[in-house]
Amino acid sequence: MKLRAVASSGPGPTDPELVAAAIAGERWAPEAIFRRYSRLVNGLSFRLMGSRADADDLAQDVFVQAFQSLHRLENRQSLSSWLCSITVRTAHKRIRRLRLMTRLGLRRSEAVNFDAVVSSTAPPEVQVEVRGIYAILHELPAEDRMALVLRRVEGMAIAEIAAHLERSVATVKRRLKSAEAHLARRLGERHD
Amino acid sequence: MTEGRKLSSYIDHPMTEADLRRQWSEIETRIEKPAPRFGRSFLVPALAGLSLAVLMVVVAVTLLRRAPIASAWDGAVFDSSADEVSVALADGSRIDLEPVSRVIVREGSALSVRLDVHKGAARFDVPHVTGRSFHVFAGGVKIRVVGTRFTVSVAGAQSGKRVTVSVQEGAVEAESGGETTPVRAGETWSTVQAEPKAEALPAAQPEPLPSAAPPGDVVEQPAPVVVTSRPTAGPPSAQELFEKGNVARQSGDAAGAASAYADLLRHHPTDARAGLASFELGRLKMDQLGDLRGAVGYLQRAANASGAFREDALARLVRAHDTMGDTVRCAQAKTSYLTSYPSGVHAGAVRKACQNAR
Repeated sequence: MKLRAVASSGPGPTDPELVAAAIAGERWAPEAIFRRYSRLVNGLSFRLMGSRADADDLAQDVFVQAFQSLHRLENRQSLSSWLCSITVRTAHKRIRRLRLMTRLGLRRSEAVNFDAVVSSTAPPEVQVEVRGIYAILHELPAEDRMALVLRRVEGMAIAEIAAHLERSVATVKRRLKSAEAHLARRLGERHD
Repeated sequence: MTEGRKLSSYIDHPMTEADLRRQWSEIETRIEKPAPRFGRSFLVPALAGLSLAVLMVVVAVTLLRRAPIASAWDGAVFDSSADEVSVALADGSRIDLEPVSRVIVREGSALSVRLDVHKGAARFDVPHVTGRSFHVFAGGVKIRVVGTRFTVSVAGAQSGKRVTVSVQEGAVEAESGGETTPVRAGETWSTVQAEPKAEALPAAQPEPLPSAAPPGDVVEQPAPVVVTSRPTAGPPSAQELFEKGNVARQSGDAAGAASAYADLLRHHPTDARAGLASFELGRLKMDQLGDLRGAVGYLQRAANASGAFREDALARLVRAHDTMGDTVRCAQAKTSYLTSYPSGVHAGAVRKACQNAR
């Protein structure tokens, strides 16, 4: 299908209308949903994965999954939140798979390229904080990594992270504590 | 974290129109041809890895099955009389029995925990443990747990036993009469199970699990009902308001989020999300809306609830009263926090607060 220009904001169709149209088989609707939420999904994917290539693959997977299960979305008003949940869960699976491949020797473990991650307009203290977080992400277990990025980078509440990861609040707190401890240890080593 | 803007606002992935076109084209192709994405360069190594993983699983299963050792917990019976009883299991799970309740441990190994709520009610706080299954049985209902907090109660009803499952966090699956129903946070599910002809003795009786209705009996078994407090008319449901608040908060619209959470508290004050909504509202007023005095009431309400946010709510109350110079209330909140969470994550900061008051 040829790409059509679809308004991503303003007085266009509401989310529930877009979802209803997509479920009804209107061919323009999925593209409109993609246009409206491509920035949200691509941005979150990029911050979770730390590389453009992985983020691009992840965002594609997210939209494909979303369109294939759109009929299961009960609260159509919460489309953006639903897409975020799919992004988080899919990123979690993908990171676990990448770690497994690394352990099996099928892939090299790579630290995130910091310069490609943070905006050049970020203040120095932000650059330091982001550099610290992304320098150790590849060393963390998948769940610790997800919890750390969602909390420190996305600024989500713990209950929200628990909902996205489908874990209890207590589990998320444990994962965060473990990740923060690792981060503090590594920052300490660097300062020594 | 950096005050003011979120870190995420400095980490973006700008996409050009060409990028978007290419991405949409690939998504569209995959939607129209939902074939598995094989043929990539990692197919061969992935297959090799898969073979190795299968081999490792076979070895692990063989080793694990070699010597099944009965746990010392198997068959244990926990009874509460007039008071609540709390039990901590080795895997980090916690069971709080309400008064006059009984929970039987059918199996308590590192790989599998199976508990039977024989009578009364019990709250479960179960962390996720990879490789360990966790099931709770009540009447003829089997509840599968991943990692969550929930309550199971068994009570007598006219036509049998009423089993009720309320989930506070996470989700469980309730299986009854061959049907599996997911029950999520904030939802309550209940069913009436026909009484078995002979009541099984608690500790000494082993299987079967779960107990089905006796063959040949006419069973009155109403369909399980998930109560989600969604009215047919009137204000939006608690779920809708909560989602609306979350979306507004994530997009930086603090006032919009506060309004949605306030609506939730006004229209659905007894909903399971009310505590969390109250905490979020207090946090927004305190951190972003500059309404410290307004935050206090909501934080107090959150602190009176029993959610996982209670500790944070109490710590914020201490900070809010301290900032406003209300030393009496600050000291009260400080005592509440330190009594409940003497080694909590905020204990250090709380101890330093309103020291002139003590």
